[in-house]
Amino acid sequence: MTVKPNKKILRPYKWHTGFLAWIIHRLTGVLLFFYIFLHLYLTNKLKDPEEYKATITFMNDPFIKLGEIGLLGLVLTHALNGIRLTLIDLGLPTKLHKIIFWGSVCVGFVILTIGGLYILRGIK
Amino acid sequence: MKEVTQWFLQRITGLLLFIGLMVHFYVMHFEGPSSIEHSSIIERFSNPYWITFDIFFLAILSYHGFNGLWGMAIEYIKSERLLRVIQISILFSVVVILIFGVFIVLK
Amino acid sequence: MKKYKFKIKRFDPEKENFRWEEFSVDMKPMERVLDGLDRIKDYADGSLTFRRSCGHGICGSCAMKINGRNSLSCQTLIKDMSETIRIEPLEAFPVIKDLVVDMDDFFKKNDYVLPYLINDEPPPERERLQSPSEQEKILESITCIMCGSCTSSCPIYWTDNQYLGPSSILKAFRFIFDSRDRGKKERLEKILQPHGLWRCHSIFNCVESCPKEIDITGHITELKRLALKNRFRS
Repeated sequence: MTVKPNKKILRPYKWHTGFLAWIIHRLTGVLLFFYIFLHLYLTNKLKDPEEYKATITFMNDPFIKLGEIGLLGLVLTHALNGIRLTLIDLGLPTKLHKIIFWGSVCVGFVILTIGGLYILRGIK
Repeated sequence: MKEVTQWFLQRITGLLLFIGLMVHFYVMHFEGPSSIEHSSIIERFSNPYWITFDIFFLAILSYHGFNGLWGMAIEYIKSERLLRVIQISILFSVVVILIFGVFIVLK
Repeated sequence: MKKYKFKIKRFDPEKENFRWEEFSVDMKPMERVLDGLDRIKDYADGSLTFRRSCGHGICGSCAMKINGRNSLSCQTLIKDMSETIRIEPLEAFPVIKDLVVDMDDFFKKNDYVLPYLINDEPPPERERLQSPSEQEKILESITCIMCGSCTSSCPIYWTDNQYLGPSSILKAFRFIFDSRDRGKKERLEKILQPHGLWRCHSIFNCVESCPKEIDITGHITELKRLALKNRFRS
Protein backbone atom coordinates (compact mmCIF):
# COMPACT_ATOMS: atom_id res chain seq x y z
CA MET A 1 0.00 0.00 0.00
CA THR A 2 1.44 3.37 -0.97
CA VAL A 3 -0.11 6.33 0.74
CA LYS A 4 0.78 9.96 1.18
CA PRO A 5 2.07 10.12 4.74
CA ASN A 6 -0.15 11.98 7.17
CA LYS A 7 2.02 14.65 8.68
CA LYS A 8 0.15 16.18 11.57
CA ILE A 9 0.30 14.74 15.08
CA LEU A 10 -2.83 16.56 16.19
CA ARG A 11 -5.57 18.10 14.11
CA PRO A 12 -8.33 20.48 15.17
CA TYR A 13 -11.21 18.27 16.13
CA LYS A 14 -14.14 18.58 18.49
CA TRP A 15 -13.04 17.84 22.04
CA HIS A 16 -14.67 15.21 24.16
CA THR A 17 -13.61 13.20 27.18
CA GLY A 18 -12.08 10.20 25.38
CA PHE A 19 -9.92 12.35 23.09
CA LEU A 20 -8.76 14.56 25.96
CA ALA A 21 -8.06 11.54 28.18
CA TRP A 22 -5.91 9.95 25.46
CA ILE A 23 -3.75 13.05 25.02
CA ILE A 24 -3.31 13.43 28.79
CA HIS A 25 -2.52 9.73 29.12
CA ARG A 26 0.27 10.00 26.55
CA LEU A 27 1.77 13.15 28.05
CA THR A 28 1.69 11.90 31.64
CA GLY A 29 3.12 8.54 30.52
CA VAL A 30 6.14 10.15 28.89
CA LEU A 31 6.67 12.55 31.81
CA LEU A 32 6.52 9.70 34.33
CA PHE A 33 9.05 7.71 32.31
CA PHE A 34 11.54 10.55 32.52
CA TYR A 35 10.75 11.00 36.20
CA ILE A 36 12.15 7.48 36.86
CA PHE A 37 15.64 8.79 36.11
CA LEU A 38 15.24 11.62 38.63
CA HIS A 39 13.88 9.21 41.21
CA LEU A 40 16.80 6.82 40.77
CA TYR A 41 19.25 9.72 40.97
CA LEU A 42 17.76 10.80 44.32
CA THR A 43 17.43 7.26 45.69
CA ASN A 44 21.09 6.65 44.91
CA LYS A 45 22.02 9.32 47.49
CA LEU A 46 20.04 7.88 50.39
CA LYS A 47 22.51 5.25 51.66
CA ASP A 48 25.43 7.53 52.51
CA PRO A 49 24.59 9.51 55.75
CA GLU A 50 26.12 12.80 54.54
CA GLU A 51 24.39 12.72 51.17
CA TYR A 52 21.19 11.60 52.89
CA LYS A 53 21.12 14.77 55.02
CA ALA A 54 21.63 16.99 51.99
CA THR A 55 18.89 15.18 50.06
CA ILE A 56 16.40 15.42 52.92
CA THR A 57 16.98 19.17 53.37
CA PHE A 58 16.54 19.55 49.63
CA MET A 59 13.32 17.51 49.74
CA ASN A 60 11.90 19.66 52.56
CA ASP A 61 11.84 22.74 50.36
CA PRO A 62 8.16 23.82 50.02
CA PHE A 63 8.48 24.07 46.24
CA ILE A 64 9.78 20.50 46.05
CA LYS A 65 6.81 19.44 48.17
CA LEU A 66 4.48 21.15 45.72
CA GLY A 67 6.31 19.30 42.96
CA GLU A 68 5.67 16.07 44.83
CA ILE A 69 1.95 16.83 44.92
CA GLY A 70 2.13 17.49 41.19
CA LEU A 71 3.82 14.13 40.76
CA LEU A 72 1.04 12.46 42.71
CA GLY A 73 -1.38 14.19 40.36
CA LEU A 74 0.45 12.85 37.30
CA VAL A 75 0.52 9.32 38.71
CA LEU A 76 -3.16 9.43 39.65
CA THR A 77 -4.19 10.76 36.23
CA HIS A 78 -2.25 8.07 34.42
CA ALA A 79 -3.31 5.28 36.77
CA LEU A 80 -7.03 6.10 36.93
CA ASN A 81 -7.25 6.59 33.18
CA GLY A 82 -5.38 3.32 32.71
CA ILE A 83 -7.91 1.57 34.93
CA ARG A 84 -10.71 3.14 32.90
CA LEU A 85 -9.19 1.80 29.67
CA THR A 86 -8.71 -1.64 31.22
CA LEU A 87 -12.34 -1.71 32.33
CA ILE A 88 -13.48 -0.83 28.80
CA ASP A 89 -11.21 -3.52 27.36
CA LEU A 90 -12.62 -6.02 29.85
CA GLY A 91 -16.03 -5.53 28.30
CA LEU A 92 -17.74 -2.92 30.42
CA PRO A 93 -20.43 -1.22 28.29
CA THR A 94 -18.65 1.50 26.31
CA LYS A 95 -21.63 3.82 26.84
CA LEU A 96 -20.32 4.30 30.37
CA HIS A 97 -16.90 5.63 29.38
CA LYS A 98 -17.74 9.28 30.00
CA ILE A 99 -19.32 8.52 33.35
CA ILE A 100 -16.26 6.49 34.37
CA PHE A 101 -14.03 9.35 33.22
CA TRP A 102 -15.76 11.99 35.33
CA GLY A 103 -16.11 9.54 38.20
CA SER A 104 -12.39 8.87 38.17
CA VAL A 105 -11.70 12.62 38.00
CA CYS A 106 -13.68 13.00 41.27
CA VAL A 107 -11.94 10.01 42.88
CA GLY A 108 -8.60 11.41 41.72
CA PHE A 109 -9.25 14.80 43.30
CA VAL A 110 -10.25 13.22 46.61
CA ILE A 111 -7.11 11.06 46.70
CA LEU A 112 -4.98 14.03 45.61
CA THR A 113 -6.33 16.20 48.44
CA ILE A 114 -5.77 13.54 51.11
CA GLY A 115 -2.36 12.59 49.71
CA GLY A 116 -1.39 16.25 49.34
CA LEU A 117 -2.21 16.96 52.98
CA TYR A 118 -0.06 14.02 54.07
CA ILE A 119 2.82 15.18 51.86
CA LEU A 120 2.64 18.71 53.32
CA ARG A 121 2.54 17.27 56.85
CA GLY A 122 6.05 15.94 56.22
CA ILE A 123 7.58 19.45 56.20
CA LYS A 124 9.58 20.09 59.32
CA MET B 1 6.65 -11.36 21.55
CA LYS B 2 3.20 -11.30 20.01
CA GLU B 3 1.26 -8.05 20.13
CA VAL B 4 -1.58 -9.76 22.02
CA THR B 5 0.75 -10.65 24.88
CA GLN B 6 2.27 -7.17 24.90
CA TRP B 7 -1.16 -5.58 25.09
CA PHE B 8 -2.25 -7.95 27.85
CA LEU B 9 0.94 -7.49 29.88
CA GLN B 10 0.62 -3.71 29.56
CA ARG B 11 -2.70 -3.91 31.42
CA ILE B 12 -1.50 -6.43 34.00
CA THR B 13 1.70 -4.50 34.76
CA GLY B 14 -0.35 -1.30 34.95
CA LEU B 15 -2.59 -2.74 37.65
CA LEU B 16 0.40 -4.18 39.55
CA LEU B 17 2.12 -0.80 39.39
CA PHE B 18 -0.96 0.87 40.84
CA ILE B 19 -0.94 -1.53 43.80
CA GLY B 20 2.83 -1.16 44.22
CA LEU B 21 2.60 2.62 44.16
CA MET B 22 -0.09 2.58 46.85
CA VAL B 23 2.24 0.56 49.08
CA HIS B 24 5.13 2.92 48.24
CA PHE B 25 3.09 6.03 48.99
CA TYR B 26 1.70 4.56 52.20
CA VAL B 27 5.16 3.76 53.53
CA MET B 28 6.67 7.09 52.46
CA HIS B 29 3.99 9.52 53.58
CA PHE B 30 1.29 7.90 55.71
CA GLU B 31 3.35 5.98 58.23
CA GLY B 32 4.72 9.13 59.79
CA PRO B 33 8.10 10.86 59.64
CA SER B 34 9.98 7.93 61.19
CA SER B 35 9.76 5.97 57.93
CA ILE B 36 12.05 8.38 56.08
CA GLU B 37 14.74 8.54 58.78
CA HIS B 38 18.13 7.32 57.68
CA SER B 39 18.11 4.23 59.90
CA SER B 40 14.77 2.97 58.61
CA ILE B 41 15.83 3.56 55.00
CA ILE B 42 18.97 1.47 55.58
CA GLU B 43 16.84 -1.15 57.30
CA ARG B 44 14.49 -1.37 54.33
CA PHE B 45 17.41 -1.66 51.92
CA SER B 46 18.69 -4.70 53.86
CA ASN B 47 15.31 -6.38 54.31
CA PRO B 48 15.00 -9.24 51.74
CA TYR B 49 11.25 -8.63 51.32
CA TRP B 50 11.77 -4.98 50.48
CA ILE B 51 14.64 -5.87 48.14
CA THR B 52 12.38 -8.29 46.28
CA PHE B 53 9.60 -5.69 46.19
CA ASP B 54 11.94 -3.00 44.89
CA ILE B 55 13.46 -5.14 42.16
CA PHE B 56 10.11 -6.55 41.03
CA PHE B 57 8.56 -3.10 41.06
CA LEU B 58 11.42 -1.72 38.99
CA ALA B 59 11.22 -4.59 36.50
CA ILE B 60 7.46 -4.16 36.06
CA LEU B 61 7.85 -0.39 35.81
CA SER B 62 10.51 -0.60 33.13
CA TYR B 63 8.48 -3.10 31.11
CA HIS B 64 5.41 -0.84 31.28
CA GLY B 65 7.39 2.24 30.29
CA PHE B 66 9.27 0.41 27.56
CA ASN B 67 6.10 -1.02 26.05
CA GLY B 68 4.30 2.32 26.16
CA LEU B 69 7.10 4.26 24.48
CA TRP B 70 7.68 1.47 21.95
CA GLY B 71 4.03 1.62 20.86
CA MET B 72 4.19 5.39 20.57
CA ALA B 73 7.33 5.17 18.44
CA ILE B 74 5.55 2.83 16.03
CA GLU B 75 2.73 5.34 15.66
CA TYR B 76 4.69 8.54 15.32
CA ILE B 77 7.86 7.69 13.40
CA LYS B 78 7.46 7.06 9.69
CA SER B 79 11.07 6.64 8.59
CA GLU B 80 12.20 3.06 9.09
CA ARG B 81 15.75 4.05 10.03
CA LEU B 82 14.76 6.71 12.55
CA LEU B 83 12.33 4.22 14.08
CA ARG B 84 15.18 1.74 14.61
CA VAL B 85 17.33 4.45 16.21
CA ILE B 86 14.54 5.53 18.54
CA GLN B 87 13.59 1.97 19.46
CA ILE B 88 17.21 1.19 20.31
CA SER B 89 17.45 4.30 22.48
CA ILE B 90 14.24 3.32 24.31
CA LEU B 91 15.67 -0.15 24.90
CA PHE B 92 18.97 1.37 26.05
CA SER B 93 17.33 3.75 28.54
CA VAL B 94 15.19 0.96 29.98
CA VAL B 95 18.27 -1.24 30.43
CA VAL B 96 20.05 1.70 32.12
CA ILE B 97 17.10 2.13 34.50
CA LEU B 98 17.09 -1.57 35.37
CA ILE B 99 20.83 -1.92 35.94
CA PHE B 100 21.13 1.34 37.86
CA GLY B 101 18.10 0.48 39.99
CA VAL B 102 19.34 -2.98 40.90
CA PHE B 103 22.76 -1.49 41.64
CA ILE B 104 21.21 1.03 44.07
CA VAL B 105 19.20 -1.63 45.86
CA LEU B 106 22.06 -4.12 46.22
CA LYS B 107 24.95 -1.70 46.73
CA MET C 1 -36.43 31.57 7.26
CA LYS C 2 -33.27 32.71 8.93
CA LYS C 3 -29.91 33.78 7.58
CA TYR C 4 -27.06 31.31 8.18
CA LYS C 5 -23.40 31.92 7.44
CA PHE C 6 -21.68 28.96 5.74
CA LYS C 7 -17.91 29.13 6.25
CA ILE C 8 -16.42 26.65 3.81
CA LYS C 9 -12.77 25.61 3.59
CA ARG C 10 -12.06 25.36 -0.11
CA PHE C 11 -9.14 23.87 -1.97
CA ASP C 12 -8.18 24.92 -5.46
CA PRO C 13 -6.24 22.06 -7.12
CA GLU C 14 -4.80 24.36 -9.80
CA LYS C 15 -3.39 26.92 -7.40
CA GLU C 16 -2.93 24.28 -4.67
CA ASN C 17 -4.09 26.53 -1.86
CA PHE C 18 -6.67 26.38 0.90
CA ARG C 19 -8.94 29.34 1.58
CA TRP C 20 -12.00 30.03 3.70
CA GLU C 21 -15.02 31.39 1.88
CA GLU C 22 -18.25 32.66 3.40
CA PHE C 23 -21.74 32.37 1.96
CA SER C 24 -24.91 33.59 3.57
CA VAL C 25 -27.97 31.47 2.89
CA ASP C 26 -31.61 31.62 4.00
CA MET C 27 -32.48 28.34 5.68
CA LYS C 28 -35.53 26.82 7.33
CA PRO C 29 -34.88 25.04 10.65
CA MET C 30 -35.88 21.60 9.40
CA GLU C 31 -33.62 21.75 6.35
CA ARG C 32 -30.28 19.97 6.24
CA VAL C 33 -26.75 21.33 5.82
CA LEU C 34 -26.67 19.56 2.45
CA ASP C 35 -29.61 21.70 1.27
CA GLY C 36 -27.56 24.77 2.10
CA LEU C 37 -24.61 23.48 0.09
CA ASP C 38 -26.92 22.69 -2.84
CA ARG C 39 -28.33 26.21 -2.66
CA ILE C 40 -24.84 27.73 -2.69
CA LYS C 41 -23.87 25.61 -5.71
CA ASP C 42 -27.08 26.44 -7.59
CA TYR C 43 -27.39 30.17 -6.87
CA ALA C 44 -24.10 31.57 -5.54
CA ASP C 45 -21.03 29.71 -6.75
CA GLY C 46 -21.29 26.85 -9.23
CA SER C 47 -17.64 25.90 -8.74
CA LEU C 48 -18.22 24.66 -5.16
CA THR C 49 -17.44 20.94 -5.27
CA PHE C 50 -18.73 18.28 -2.89
CA ARG C 51 -19.86 14.67 -3.07
CA ARG C 52 -23.52 13.84 -2.62
CA SER C 53 -25.79 11.15 -3.82
CA CYS C 54 -28.85 9.86 -2.00
CA GLY C 55 -29.35 12.65 0.51
CA HIS C 56 -30.90 10.24 2.99
CA GLY C 57 -27.93 9.06 5.03
CA ILE C 58 -27.42 5.70 3.35
CA CYS C 59 -24.87 6.15 0.54
CA GLY C 60 -22.14 7.68 2.68
CA SER C 61 -20.93 10.17 0.07
CA CYS C 62 -21.48 13.46 1.84
CA ALA C 63 -19.35 12.92 4.95
CA MET C 64 -17.56 16.14 5.90
CA LYS C 65 -16.34 18.01 8.93
CA ILE C 66 -19.17 20.20 10.18
CA ASN C 67 -18.37 22.52 13.10
CA GLY C 68 -15.24 20.51 13.88
CA ARG C 69 -16.90 17.12 13.94
CA ASN C 70 -17.25 14.55 11.15
CA SER C 71 -20.83 13.91 10.12
CA LEU C 72 -23.05 13.41 7.10
CA SER C 73 -24.25 16.77 5.80
CA CYS C 74 -27.54 15.16 4.72
CA GLN C 75 -28.21 14.08 8.29
CA THR C 76 -27.29 17.30 10.06
CA LEU C 77 -30.28 19.54 10.61
CA ILE C 78 -30.00 23.32 10.47
CA LYS C 79 -31.92 23.71 13.76
CA ASP C 80 -29.05 22.04 15.64
CA MET C 81 -26.51 24.49 14.21
CA SER C 82 -25.32 27.88 15.39
CA GLU C 83 -25.54 30.84 13.02
CA THR C 84 -22.10 30.22 11.56
CA ILE C 85 -21.60 26.75 10.13
CA ARG C 86 -17.98 25.77 9.53
CA ILE C 87 -17.58 23.12 6.85
CA GLU C 88 -14.27 21.42 6.06
CA PRO C 89 -13.25 18.34 4.06
CA LEU C 90 -12.58 15.14 6.03
CA GLU C 91 -9.30 15.17 7.96
CA ALA C 92 -6.29 12.99 7.11
CA PHE C 93 -7.37 12.15 3.56
CA PRO C 94 -5.65 14.02 0.69
CA VAL C 95 -8.01 16.73 -0.61
CA ILE C 96 -8.81 16.68 -4.33
CA LYS C 97 -11.03 19.74 -4.60
CA ASP C 98 -13.03 21.75 -2.05
CA LEU C 99 -14.85 19.15 0.04
CA VAL C 100 -13.93 16.13 -2.11
CA VAL C 101 -11.21 13.90 -0.64
CA ASP C 102 -9.21 10.99 -2.04
CA MET C 103 -10.49 7.91 -0.22
CA ASP C 104 -8.26 5.38 -2.02
CA ASP C 105 -6.34 4.48 1.12
CA PHE C 106 -9.58 4.03 3.05
CA PHE C 107 -11.00 1.55 0.52
CA LYS C 108 -7.66 -0.25 0.06
CA LYS C 109 -7.52 -0.92 3.78
CA ASN C 110 -11.12 -2.05 3.64
CA ASP C 111 -10.22 -4.59 0.95
CA TYR C 112 -7.21 -5.67 2.99
CA VAL C 113 -9.39 -7.37 5.66
CA LEU C 114 -11.16 -9.51 2.98
CA PRO C 115 -14.63 -7.94 3.18
CA TYR C 116 -16.53 -10.79 1.50
CA LEU C 117 -18.00 -14.14 2.51
CA ILE C 118 -15.43 -16.95 2.64
CA ASN C 119 -17.10 -20.34 2.75
CA ASP C 120 -16.07 -23.40 0.71
CA GLU C 121 -18.90 -25.61 1.97
CA PRO C 122 -21.44 -26.44 -0.76
CA PRO C 123 -24.38 -24.04 -0.42
CA PRO C 124 -27.68 -25.50 0.75
CA GLU C 125 -30.62 -25.65 -1.62
CA ARG C 126 -31.87 -22.15 -0.94
CA GLU C 127 -29.56 -20.02 1.20
CA ARG C 128 -27.10 -20.15 4.08
CA LEU C 129 -29.35 -19.75 7.09
CA GLN C 130 -28.63 -17.85 10.26
CA SER C 131 -30.53 -17.84 13.52
CA PRO C 132 -31.92 -14.52 14.82
CA SER C 133 -29.45 -14.52 17.72
CA GLU C 134 -26.53 -15.08 15.34
CA GLN C 135 -27.79 -12.21 13.22
CA GLU C 136 -28.11 -9.98 16.27
CA LYS C 137 -24.38 -10.36 16.93
CA ILE C 138 -23.46 -8.59 13.69
CA LEU C 139 -26.58 -6.42 13.35
CA GLU C 140 -24.89 -3.24 14.52
CA SER C 141 -21.74 -3.70 12.45
CA ILE C 142 -23.60 -4.28 9.17
CA THR C 143 -25.25 -0.88 9.40
CA CYS C 144 -21.91 0.72 8.45
CA ILE C 145 -22.25 2.78 5.26
CA MET C 146 -18.48 3.30 4.81
CA CYS C 147 -18.61 7.08 4.75
CA GLY C 148 -15.11 7.40 6.23
CA SER C 149 -16.13 9.60 9.17
CA CYS C 150 -14.63 7.27 11.76
CA THR C 151 -11.28 6.61 10.10
CA SER C 152 -10.78 10.28 9.34
CA SER C 153 -11.55 11.23 12.95
CA CYS C 154 -9.09 8.74 14.48
CA PRO C 155 -6.00 10.47 15.98
CA ILE C 156 -3.92 7.34 15.38
CA TYR C 157 -4.83 7.37 11.69
CA TRP C 158 -3.74 11.03 11.54
CA THR C 159 -0.18 10.07 12.37
CA ASP C 160 0.23 6.39 11.53
CA ASN C 161 -0.50 6.01 7.82
CA GLN C 162 -0.22 2.24 8.01
CA TYR C 163 -2.93 1.91 10.66
CA LEU C 164 -5.96 0.03 9.31
CA GLY C 165 -8.40 2.44 10.89
CA PRO C 166 -11.65 1.81 12.79
CA SER C 167 -13.70 1.23 9.66
CA SER C 168 -11.64 -1.71 8.38
CA ILE C 169 -11.49 -3.31 11.82
CA LEU C 170 -15.26 -2.98 12.12
CA LYS C 171 -15.56 -4.62 8.70
CA ALA C 172 -13.33 -7.46 9.91
CA PHE C 173 -15.59 -7.82 12.97
CA ARG C 174 -18.65 -8.05 10.75
CA PHE C 175 -17.22 -11.13 8.98
CA ILE C 176 -15.32 -12.71 11.87
CA PHE C 177 -18.48 -12.92 13.96
CA ASP C 178 -20.69 -13.96 11.02
CA SER C 179 -21.86 -17.52 11.68
CA ARG C 180 -21.86 -18.29 7.93
CA ASP C 181 -18.26 -17.26 7.39
CA ARG C 182 -15.27 -19.63 7.53
CA GLY C 183 -12.43 -17.17 6.91
CA LYS C 184 -12.06 -16.18 10.56
CA LYS C 185 -8.42 -17.25 10.81
CA GLU C 186 -7.17 -15.39 7.73
CA ARG C 187 -8.95 -12.22 8.77
CA LEU C 188 -7.66 -12.37 12.33
CA GLU C 189 -4.15 -12.75 10.95
CA LYS C 190 -4.69 -9.62 8.86
CA ILE C 191 -5.79 -7.45 11.77
CA LEU C 192 -3.47 -8.88 14.44
CA GLN C 193 -0.39 -7.04 13.22
CA PRO C 194 1.52 -4.12 14.74
CA HIS C 195 -0.46 -1.58 12.71
CA GLY C 196 -3.81 -3.29 13.13
CA LEU C 197 -5.99 -3.86 16.15
CA TRP C 198 -3.38 -2.92 18.74
CA ARG C 199 -3.07 0.67 17.63
CA CYS C 200 -6.60 1.35 18.90
CA HIS C 201 -6.39 3.15 22.25
CA SER C 202 -10.14 3.52 22.94
CA ILE C 203 -10.19 7.24 22.12
CA PHE C 204 -13.88 7.14 21.08
CA ASN C 205 -13.48 9.75 18.32
CA CYS C 206 -14.90 7.19 15.88
CA VAL C 207 -17.97 6.57 18.04
CA GLU C 208 -18.53 10.31 18.44
CA SER C 209 -18.45 10.86 14.68
CA CYS C 210 -20.30 7.78 13.38
CA PRO C 211 -23.51 8.94 11.63
CA LYS C 212 -25.02 5.48 12.14
CA GLU C 213 -24.24 5.59 15.88
CA ILE C 214 -22.30 2.32 15.77
CA ASP C 215 -20.36 1.57 18.95
CA ILE C 216 -17.13 1.00 17.01
CA THR C 217 -14.83 1.02 20.05
CA GLY C 218 -17.02 -1.61 21.71
CA HIS C 219 -16.67 -3.85 18.66
CA ILE C 220 -12.90 -3.35 18.55
CA THR C 221 -12.50 -4.24 22.23
CA GLU C 222 -14.51 -7.39 21.59
CA LEU C 223 -12.02 -8.35 18.86
CA LYS C 224 -9.19 -7.69 21.33
CA ARG C 225 -10.77 -10.07 23.83
CA LEU C 226 -11.22 -12.68 21.10
CA ALA C 227 -7.53 -12.38 20.18
CA LEU C 228 -6.57 -12.79 23.83
CA LYS C 229 -8.79 -15.86 24.18
CA ASN C 230 -7.23 -17.42 21.07
CA ARG C 231 -3.77 -16.70 22.41
CA PHE C 232 -4.41 -18.60 25.63
CA ARG C 233 -6.17 -21.47 23.93
CA SER C 234 -3.30 -22.20 21.54
